[in-house]
Amino acid sequence: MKRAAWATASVIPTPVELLALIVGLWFAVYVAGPRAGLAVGAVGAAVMLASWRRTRRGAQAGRGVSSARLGWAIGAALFAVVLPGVAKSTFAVSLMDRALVVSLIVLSLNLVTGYTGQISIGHAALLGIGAYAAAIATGQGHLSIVLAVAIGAAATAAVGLLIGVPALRLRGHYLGLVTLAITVAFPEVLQVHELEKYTGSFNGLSEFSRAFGPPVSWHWLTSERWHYFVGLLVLLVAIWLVSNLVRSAAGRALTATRDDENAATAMGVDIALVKISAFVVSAALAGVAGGLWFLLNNRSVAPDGFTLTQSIEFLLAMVIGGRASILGSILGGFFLVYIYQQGVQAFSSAFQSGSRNWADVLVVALITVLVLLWFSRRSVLPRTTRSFMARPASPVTRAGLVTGAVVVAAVIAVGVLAGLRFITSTFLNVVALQPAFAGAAVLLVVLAMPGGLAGFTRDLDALSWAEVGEWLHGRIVPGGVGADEQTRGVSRERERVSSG
Amino acid sequence: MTQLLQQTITGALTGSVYAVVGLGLVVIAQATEIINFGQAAMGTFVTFIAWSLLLRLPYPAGFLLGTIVAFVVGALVERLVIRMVPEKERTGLNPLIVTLGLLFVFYGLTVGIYGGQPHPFPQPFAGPPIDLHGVHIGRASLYLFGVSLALVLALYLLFRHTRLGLVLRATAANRTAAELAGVPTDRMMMLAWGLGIACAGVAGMLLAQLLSLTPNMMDVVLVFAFAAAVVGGLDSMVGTLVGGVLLGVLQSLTGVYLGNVVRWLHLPFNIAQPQQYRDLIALVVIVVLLIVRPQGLFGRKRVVKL
Repeated sequence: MKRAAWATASVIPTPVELLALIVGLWFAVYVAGPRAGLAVGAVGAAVMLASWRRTRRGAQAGRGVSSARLGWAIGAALFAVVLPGVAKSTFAVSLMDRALVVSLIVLSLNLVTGYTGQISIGHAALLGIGAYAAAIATGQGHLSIVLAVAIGAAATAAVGLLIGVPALRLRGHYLGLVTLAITVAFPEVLQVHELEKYTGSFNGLSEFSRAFGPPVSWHWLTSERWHYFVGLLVLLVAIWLVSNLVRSAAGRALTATRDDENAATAMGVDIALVKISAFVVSAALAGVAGGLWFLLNNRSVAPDGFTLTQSIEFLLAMVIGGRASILGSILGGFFLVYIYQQGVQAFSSAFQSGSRNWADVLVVALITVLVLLWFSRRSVLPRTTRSFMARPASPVTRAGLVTGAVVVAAVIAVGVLAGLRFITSTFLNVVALQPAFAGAAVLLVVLAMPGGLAGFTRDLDALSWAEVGEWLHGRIVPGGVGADEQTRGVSRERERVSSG
Repeated sequence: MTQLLQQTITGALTGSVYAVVGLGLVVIAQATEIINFGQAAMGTFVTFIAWSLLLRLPYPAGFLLGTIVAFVVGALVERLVIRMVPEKERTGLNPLIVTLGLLFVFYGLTVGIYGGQPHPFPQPFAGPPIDLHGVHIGRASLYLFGVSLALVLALYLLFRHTRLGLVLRATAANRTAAELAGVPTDRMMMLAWGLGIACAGVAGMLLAQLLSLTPNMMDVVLVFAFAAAVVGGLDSMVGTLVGGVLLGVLQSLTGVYLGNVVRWLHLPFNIAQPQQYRDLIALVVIVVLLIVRPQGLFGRKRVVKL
């Protein structure tokens, strides 16, 4: 591998840096509009990338990296603090807040499912218990919000203890069934007649009167921004706690339990204790997330916010973000809010509108890539074509081949687009199709990218431009130079990541 | 007394649908060791297809075509999705996550194509309920029970008394050995998924007559079907039927008598609307059953050798 390339500190960003740059800039522009977004995003991303390189080089040379840490802090602060300050609307701020809360719930799910291997399809119910407990404590108990959130966390932790008990006797599907039953039961419990005076039945509870405004009355610090900063603080604390936990002996006991219960027992791990405490800690985090959720939704809760669909969405977000990874939890949370909810909605309404627009371009690009990937599976083409393409060729011929492949794929993609247009104009409503996108995404992740987005970032991090170029060439031209070696190299890398 | 009998019979008839969905789960779990959490969503999707067919076709033809479509959908899902998961990735949570992904895919397709509004489903035997000495039995429920029973019997005969069933069971018991004996295990997997989803489709079409057809009609049914299958230890057809019927009876009786039971026990609260507790009590029983006897009422404890 070309680790040494870091030390030369070229001005050209490496593949992963370029990707991070594009995503960061796009996000900043999405939140704050083109002018402020570009300014904040560019400065923040540049500072963070520079510090990233310094950290890497410092780590290589065994030097201290305090200046790099400062850079990290400045860059991160630009994104996390200045960006909501210059956001173009209050909606953009509350969307960021939502992403933070969802990240927190995905993180808590990751602790119990990703790290400990105990499936939970019940995290929406845990979130709901936290939210309802906070709502009841503020509304009927007249407590302050901070105390209410703490009570919510405690109540949810107690429920986590209850769920942890079946987990001692049940594995895999059976535990899935129990947590599934809890998720299905939760909204029904809330609507039971006898509990109506506490839970407000299907209308839920609205505690508008119990404001949780900022402590100082600055014009700048709107209540959305205040909620966002509280959420940010809570998420940072949770990340700090979880990252410490998973790196400690207790954390290794979690992964040992997931990988092989017998082996873990043999090494002296108390599996029962591990599972129960994983459920309790995870539930407590979910309870805190529930309290934040209550704040986020204008201090109101309703049973239809905590359904089976939500539970599965969190699980899918965890898998797409990356199992057993803190970065993966954050990526999963942001994926769920910005790509799955906002992005897919924007895309499908644009596509449904029928006129030619960016959605069409996106579809054509996506299908082109898929067709190219499909062609690169060597068995698709007849052998003579393959051997012709595999022959050593001049750069011009090779460039021609690549262009030809791309053109053919693009033509196919345009054809597919026409077919899709026909289907959507006759009987398919793309806007309602939303869950299918998440389902398809998670299937793709399990089939092709077991490490999720976090694993993908790690894989990409290990590659230089030359390697990416070779890989792409191998993908576009069937049997192209180095196609096989490269794919094998990547999959080996993946194995290392997923097993390690 | 008549009311008790009435409720028991109604519950048993409804419960047989749980058994049919559960049977589908058992067939798939037997052959592939995967519990299909997408079963209900796939069944609902097929039911919507059958519904659109039935707008133009007579009932028997539509029902049969619907079942065939379900079989094809199941077989395709196995071929295109399940088989693509590499053998070494089929451990841990991956199969579960894949089937949850399928749940979302099929739910999304259903809503995307047919929308969220409820639709009435055609009834083959419309008419007033049959009166047996004061016990009223709906024709739709009776028909539903008949089809369920026939399906259980057919699957039982298939698995126990035909060569194909033997081969399917061999695939489930030991895939490598079956392969060495010349069994096309890949095709058997497709067959098992086809049969499993066909069960889900039939159950969907039966259930849609009782409830109205909506995209999440079968969400709760999945839990009950799963529970019915667990009562049978996930490998017994008859056990699944018994489990489904028991659950149906429990639900039906809860819906009427829970208030009386609470009063009789002198508990410090009152139940005004026992109907609301139908699903809840059943879910509680499922959770307790799972904790107390994870191997099911009829299943044997599996001993895993290291």
